Amino acid sequence: MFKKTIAIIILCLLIILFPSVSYGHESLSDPGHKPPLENSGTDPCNAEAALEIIERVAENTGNISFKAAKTVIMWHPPGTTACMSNITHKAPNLTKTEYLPSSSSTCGLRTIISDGKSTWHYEPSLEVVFHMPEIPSLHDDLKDKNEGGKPNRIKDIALIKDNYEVSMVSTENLIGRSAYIIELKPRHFGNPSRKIWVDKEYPFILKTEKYGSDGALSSVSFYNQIEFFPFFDDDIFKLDIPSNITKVELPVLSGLIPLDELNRKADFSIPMPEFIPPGYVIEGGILSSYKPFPAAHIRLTDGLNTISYFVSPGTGGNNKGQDTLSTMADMSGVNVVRRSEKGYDLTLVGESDESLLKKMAESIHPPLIQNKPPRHPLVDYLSSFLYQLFLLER
Amino acid sequence: MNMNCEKVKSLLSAYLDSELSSHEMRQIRLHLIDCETCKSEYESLRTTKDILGMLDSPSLPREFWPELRDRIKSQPIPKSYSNLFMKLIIPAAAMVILAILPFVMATHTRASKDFISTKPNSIEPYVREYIISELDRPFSDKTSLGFVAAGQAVTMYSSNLFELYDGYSEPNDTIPASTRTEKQTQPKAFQPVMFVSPK
Amino acid sequence: MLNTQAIANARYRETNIEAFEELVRTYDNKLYRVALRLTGNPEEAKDLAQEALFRAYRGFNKFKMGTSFERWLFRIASNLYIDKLRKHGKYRFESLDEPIPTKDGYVQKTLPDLTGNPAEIAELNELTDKIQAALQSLPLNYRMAVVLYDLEGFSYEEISGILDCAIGTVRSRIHRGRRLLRKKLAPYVYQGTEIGVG
Repeated sequence: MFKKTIAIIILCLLIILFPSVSYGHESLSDPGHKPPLENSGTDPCNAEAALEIIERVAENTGNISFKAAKTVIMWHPPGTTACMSNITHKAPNLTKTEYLPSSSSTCGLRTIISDGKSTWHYEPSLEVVFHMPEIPSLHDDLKDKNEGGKPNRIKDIALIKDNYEVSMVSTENLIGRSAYIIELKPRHFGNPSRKIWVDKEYPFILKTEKYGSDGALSSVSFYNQIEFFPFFDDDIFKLDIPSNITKVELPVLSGLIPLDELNRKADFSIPMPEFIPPGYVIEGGILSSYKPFPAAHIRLTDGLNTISYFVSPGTGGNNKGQDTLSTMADMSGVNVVRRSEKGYDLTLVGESDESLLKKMAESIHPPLIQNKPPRHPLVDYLSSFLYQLFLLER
Repeated sequence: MNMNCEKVKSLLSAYLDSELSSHEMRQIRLHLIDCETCKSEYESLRTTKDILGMLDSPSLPREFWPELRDRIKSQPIPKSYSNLFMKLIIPAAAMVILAILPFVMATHTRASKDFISTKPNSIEPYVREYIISELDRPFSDKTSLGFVAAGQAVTMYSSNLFELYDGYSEPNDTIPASTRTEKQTQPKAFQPVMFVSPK
Repeated sequence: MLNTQAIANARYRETNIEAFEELVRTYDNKLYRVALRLTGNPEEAKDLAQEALFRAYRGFNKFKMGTSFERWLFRIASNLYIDKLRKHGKYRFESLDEPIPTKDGYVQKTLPDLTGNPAEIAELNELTDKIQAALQSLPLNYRMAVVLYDLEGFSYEEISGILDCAIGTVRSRIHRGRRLLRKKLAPYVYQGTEIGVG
């Protein structure tokens, strides 16, 4: 009860301190409402300028060192999640994030340190440090293999240009800095939109508001304070933890590979969806390291949002004829659609509208028997009889 | 060789349970006489164990067996494994199996491995992989993604889901503080984290 | 201890229900208690224990004579539970410090704050609930090892058989589990004398 009150007070304080947050949330019920424009959204010069700004942001991801305090609030069907953090970033790829506990916890701070090669996540509640080798940068890794050798970040911008209406809606001062407010509105139904506040001096995002495909605000993240290019010692990127902490090596995710390579590496044929939501392209795939059954992970993007499609040939004989489709929302705000078809497990994850993911899932037609020699019906019958007799009834 | 405090601390639970060699037991016993820190660590573990012992022992609900009996009766074992059946049919079946084994293997190896299926049905691994792939995108918010991914790691670790991955190994050692201090004195080659994996 | 000779008796091989019941009567209470400590919920515990016994009955001919029946039975139960968690483990935030979303906003798990004032805690007087909640917050593998050892008195060796892992692993799981429990039950551990523990 006490904690609940504290949580509510913190939320209220946040809302009072940062009026833009409450403003954003109100627009939930009024998606058509827009803040007053300084420039017209349809002005082509405005669009050009906005695109140029986001291009600079994309090119400079990670290049700006800073020290900051940040708040993230996520709204999702079961409720609200908020977290506050202290972040220190040293260009190009050293980052330390400490998440502040939401109550008077005796534990230390959940801390994540990443140096571009490895991520270390200290979880005080479990007395565990998770270590995960970082995925070789998904985009950079793929750029040489792509025709034309264009880095994907540039491709992303081209896709964003095609799929989103990018405009500068206004400028605003926040946390003592002056920022452009840029809106990215989807041209195709079912995709989330975004509003970003880009610092005028540095190509850096100070605040992000994400809206679901229904126009409701789904998350906001903003800096409470920030200092650019501060002085800091490398020592702060060392993890300061109590002794006797368990270290857990997390499985490595392999990098993104082109689809044909993925098809070669997987020991099953990967059924592809016939329907891909408008604007999306396939970036490539990842071979998942799940042990019991092989799974392939295919990534699709429209430049701003992404969809992950996981496919696993599953248990084969076990769920014959029991094809199912289920959807669920995850606390992080993503939608998950799962389908079981001819023994295949199909899972789609994304922030796009559930109906799009469902339609995509339903357009996947896995082959009945994959990579197996054709069998005689008698053999089929006998094998299943013997299987029942000797393997299941134990 | 005398044990240092870190080593002793890592063995205290096993010491408490008398699950160590007599040599180790003796070494720890001696260490605890001299070392106040380890002694209080030991006491707190002992108390924790005692507290667990305070849990009550509920007995079986009354309907437990009647329900189970009904279930067993309503779903009888489909084949009667009578001796005659075993004697006559098994050899015959064995021959058939030998004949068509390759086909059976091809169809059922995967399923047959799992008496109780370990096939992952939870969505966390998928969402986690999605989130991690998102991290690299230019407009993604790494702070919130990191928060969600961290929560997922906690859930997955807590329900043994990581064990389903290739290359996952059960952590067997804790990171001794001494390793960390040693590392600190290393030359300036950048070390983001102060410890290395224990060998 | 189970009479293995009795199992070898043909009437058990036929696994008729009365014989089976007689055989597992020695373990049913223990099995239910372990299930209850793992799940934290009487209804779930009953289901888990029944399912384990049901599978043991159906798969009785799989049991190797001369090995420990008890270990076999508990292994079935623990595998069942792992399997169940994996199937239904949708966002069960098992960490005590993990915030959980509710319709009123963002709150911490409703586990009582054990780090507060000991007098306040004594007032709550629901020790069992708190121990159970603390157990519940442990990672599954630690919880299993601690429950089997500290509550049911299996040896490290037996646990390594039940959980299918090395003895060293059992040792570290129990140790880590207890350390986490100690933290979560801190007021009891350190103020032990005041509430009659220690």
